Amino acid sequence: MGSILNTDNLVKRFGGLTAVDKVTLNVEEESIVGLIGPNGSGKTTLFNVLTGVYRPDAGKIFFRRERIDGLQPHQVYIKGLVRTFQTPKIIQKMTVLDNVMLAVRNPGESLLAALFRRRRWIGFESRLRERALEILRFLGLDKHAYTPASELSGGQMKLLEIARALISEPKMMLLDEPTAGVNPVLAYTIFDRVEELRKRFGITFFIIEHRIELLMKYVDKVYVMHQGKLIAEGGPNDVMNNPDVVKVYLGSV
Amino acid sequence: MPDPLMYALDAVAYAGIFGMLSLSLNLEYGYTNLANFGKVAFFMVGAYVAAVMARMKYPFAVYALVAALVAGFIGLLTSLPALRLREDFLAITMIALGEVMKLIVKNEEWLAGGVWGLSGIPPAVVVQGLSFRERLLVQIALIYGCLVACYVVCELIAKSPYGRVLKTIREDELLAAAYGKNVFRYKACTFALGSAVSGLAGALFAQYMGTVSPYMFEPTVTFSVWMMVILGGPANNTGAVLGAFLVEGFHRSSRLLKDYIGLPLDPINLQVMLTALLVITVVFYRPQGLLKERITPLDRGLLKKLKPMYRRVKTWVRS
Repeated sequence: MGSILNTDNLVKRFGGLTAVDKVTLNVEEESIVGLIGPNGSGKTTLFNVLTGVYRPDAGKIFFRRERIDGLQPHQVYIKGLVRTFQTPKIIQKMTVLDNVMLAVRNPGESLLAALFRRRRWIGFESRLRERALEILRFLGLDKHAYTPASELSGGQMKLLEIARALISEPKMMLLDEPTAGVNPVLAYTIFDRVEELRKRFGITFFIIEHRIELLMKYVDKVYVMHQGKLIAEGGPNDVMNNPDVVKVYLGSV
Repeated sequence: MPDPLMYALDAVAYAGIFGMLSLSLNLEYGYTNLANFGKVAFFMVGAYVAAVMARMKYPFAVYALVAALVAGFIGLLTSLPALRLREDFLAITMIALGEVMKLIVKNEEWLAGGVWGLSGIPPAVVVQGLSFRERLLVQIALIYGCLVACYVVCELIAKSPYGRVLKTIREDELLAAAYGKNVFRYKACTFALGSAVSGLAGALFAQYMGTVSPYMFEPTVTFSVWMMVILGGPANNTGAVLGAFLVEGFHRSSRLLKDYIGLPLDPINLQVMLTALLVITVVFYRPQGLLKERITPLDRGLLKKLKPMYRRVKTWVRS
């Protein structure tokens, strides 16, 4: 299997601070890759650069052998690279179902179709609803499909973020702390679902996570980031025994 | 003492025209969070285009359409640079735009009569042998026909996937972009549509008044429309129209007040004070407006209600 996402000496600076410093990484197709590092090490910034929120100052990004650096976020999304957010971006004034359905490109999203060619999207919309309900069922949220999203708990909002990312049938998902603020049981459920999705649909995952023991049970490979640089990579055991990584997390002994 | 019925009918006509402005601002601000504080500019453009064309004896349908298109086009042009600004800066830019447009019309006499404005605009529908009051009723019928059409358009948009994208942009632009929506294009499109509706309202206003002048298009028009949307309830089309009625009714009744009660202070000042008090009260005690935004899935909204109605009409027409 080839690589699905790789970067070449990616750099992002904010004034004097280099938040992403010459990052070169490679994610294999249908793998689960972790990204760990202390707070402020540049993990989320790296996600933002990968998805087009920030334009890199130097370096290249390839997604399925295609350059995607310099693309706008919505263009990156269309290529099949989808992300979730550290603090769930849930639209409180919509139902849970609509929160999921908004992610799909829909013929009814053009002004003319919304007004005049309603037949065109009404059928699409009802098929989409079935699919959204199926995904919500998979993640255990189907009971709440028609409730306003503001009534969900923090953990359920995390699941909703994943549901929304799933519905567009992405090739690869970037999850930014999918278990932050989630109880331990649900955290395992989330990772079990990730594993299942990889097996069933061949989706590649790149996951930022602070619960290292949990992450290590599921990943094929881990990158460790510190002060904008990748300081280690490899299988879970190699990384955890790497003296640099231990130093970063526990301070020098 | 003017005929009270005429005064009331005039208020009803005004409320209809302002209801359209309120609907258009609701589309921009209520659904998309675009702080358009230059509403009056597009209203004025529509009114002037209509005035010029009506004096050249074009029929109403033609000049109303042209007024809407021109206002929409100008809206699109302004949106291209302006929508790159953040919300508060957009508001300031749009206030300036409204003033600049008014000053252009005021000072370029060759364009549209300068400070004198244009007068002698014929009404859209001329029926011979009607009394003044009956002509007013014809005007009201025309204005409310257009208002209903605008309401239906706004409702169809609100209850469509397009409307869902607008709400997404309103709540979180980054989320919308990260999930494949071209945020800028949606904003520009909505802004153009809102401006076109304002232009149509302007065309109705011009032929209703029979005259247009720069003094009719002060920034207070914009602020009135904002009050209507905020009072009625942002992101609720019924609320926007309700707000237009309330604000217009409030303006009119507080103006009448001076004829009935002797006050130690200038009634115009009193009106402004009462208006401020009303807005503060509503924003304080009911920030979501009188009618709340409804959280309903698309399939349970207008569509479900309209479909059986449409079927009934169809069978009725056939029989």
